Amino acid sequence: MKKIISVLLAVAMLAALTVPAFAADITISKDEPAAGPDGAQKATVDVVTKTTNTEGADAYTYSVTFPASFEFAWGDTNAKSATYTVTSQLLLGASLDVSVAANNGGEMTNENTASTLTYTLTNGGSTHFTEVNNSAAPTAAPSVSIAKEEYDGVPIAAYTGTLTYTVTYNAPTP
Amino acid sequence: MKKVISVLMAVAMLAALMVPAFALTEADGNPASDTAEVKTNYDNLEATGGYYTVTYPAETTIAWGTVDTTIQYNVTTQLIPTATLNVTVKQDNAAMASATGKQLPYTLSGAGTNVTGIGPFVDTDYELNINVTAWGDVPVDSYSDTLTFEATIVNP
Amino acid sequence: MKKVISVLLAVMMLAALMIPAFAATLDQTGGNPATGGATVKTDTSAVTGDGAYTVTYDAEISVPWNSTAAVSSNYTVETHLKTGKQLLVTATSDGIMTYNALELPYTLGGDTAYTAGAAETATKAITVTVAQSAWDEAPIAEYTDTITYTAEIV
Repeated sequence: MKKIISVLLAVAMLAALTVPAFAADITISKDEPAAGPDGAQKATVDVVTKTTNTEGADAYTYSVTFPASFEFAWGDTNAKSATYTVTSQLLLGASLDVSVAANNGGEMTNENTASTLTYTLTNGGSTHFTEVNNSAAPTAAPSVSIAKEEYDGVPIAAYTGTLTYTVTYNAPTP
Repeated sequence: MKKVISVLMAVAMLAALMVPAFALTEADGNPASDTAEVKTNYDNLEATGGYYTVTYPAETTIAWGTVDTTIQYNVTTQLIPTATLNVTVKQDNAAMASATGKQLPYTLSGAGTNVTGIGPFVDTDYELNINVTAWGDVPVDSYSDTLTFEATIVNP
Repeated sequence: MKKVISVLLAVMMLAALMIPAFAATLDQTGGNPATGGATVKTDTSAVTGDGAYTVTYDAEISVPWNSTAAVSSNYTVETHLKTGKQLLVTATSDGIMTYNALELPYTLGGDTAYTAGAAETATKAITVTVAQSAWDEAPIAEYTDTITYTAEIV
């Protein structure tokens, strides 16, 4: 009876002493791994970043900032900058394409008249941005202007048109 | 902590100087798009009322003996919505005069002599009539007078 | 019956639309109000020569037989001449009415010469007087002569 209890105790003690073995775990035990020239046993552990955040969602971010409005004093033919800035931290191999477009061909309207003005958008085409950007701007800055003949041909009023900014995220190709 | 506060204040000051801005982020879908507004205003014209042109003949010659002569002038306006234009035309004297002092009376009439409330976006012609009947009372000579055109923007 | 000598320019009674040679403009840069002048002037380029005039006179002056009273005949002068010009009107005759070889002398008097200004309307009168002695020596018949009116711009 005592022998059985002893063996059982030994087994229990062994079980208690045994550390749970995970797949990523590395164990240094006597003679494993072998000691180096300096007599020390060494094992390397990988430190790895994930592409998801602590909530498990995609960690990449980007922000494209552009002016909310452009206001022209009547008769002003000077171009106004319609540029934007890109701040991003994307996955390796990902990119952004940003473009600006004039809605309805640049038509500006006023509810009290059938007359319209047309503004001109310059350099609205798509610009490609790679992974990391800190307030980067397109090299060819977009701008908006209204020609003199546009002002001359319509009643003076407050006309409104819109620009559309579009951002396309290109995921990395696997 | 002090360094952090300094940076935050610098960012806030920069934000105050910048025009209002929108932003598109990864949270807005893919592709993501948004609009910015392009507007005109006429605040710079509130004081004057806008633009106009009155085009009239600098000189009108009347062949000897002609009783009625009609001339036209043109008005184009581009005024702020609340403004209007008034135009008057008056003869400086009751008669055309010659170099010798002889007087040839004439009268100026027509709708174009006094036009009020011309609208903010028009292109209109107006007529004036010059009537001369006393040809036989004066020697044949060159007589002349001046018509004065006056345009006033009424900008309430 | 009156004859009319007329070298007159027709007066145009039609309204004419004049096309200006050049235009002037007013706009908002000229102040408020903005003012500008336009010249209106007469054009005499179509007036031929020194202008026009009319002299109207009686075609016939009748003298009753044996009347020694001066017989008056009016003429009217209307001038529309250029500044500085005048119209000299004269009435002349040889002073002898005739019937075949018979002669009846008379005297032409009154306003046989008149100078009108550039823009004037005037009525003048000439007279024909036959003396009693002339009547007494003339057989009764219809004697005639010609009075010549002359108008000259000077």
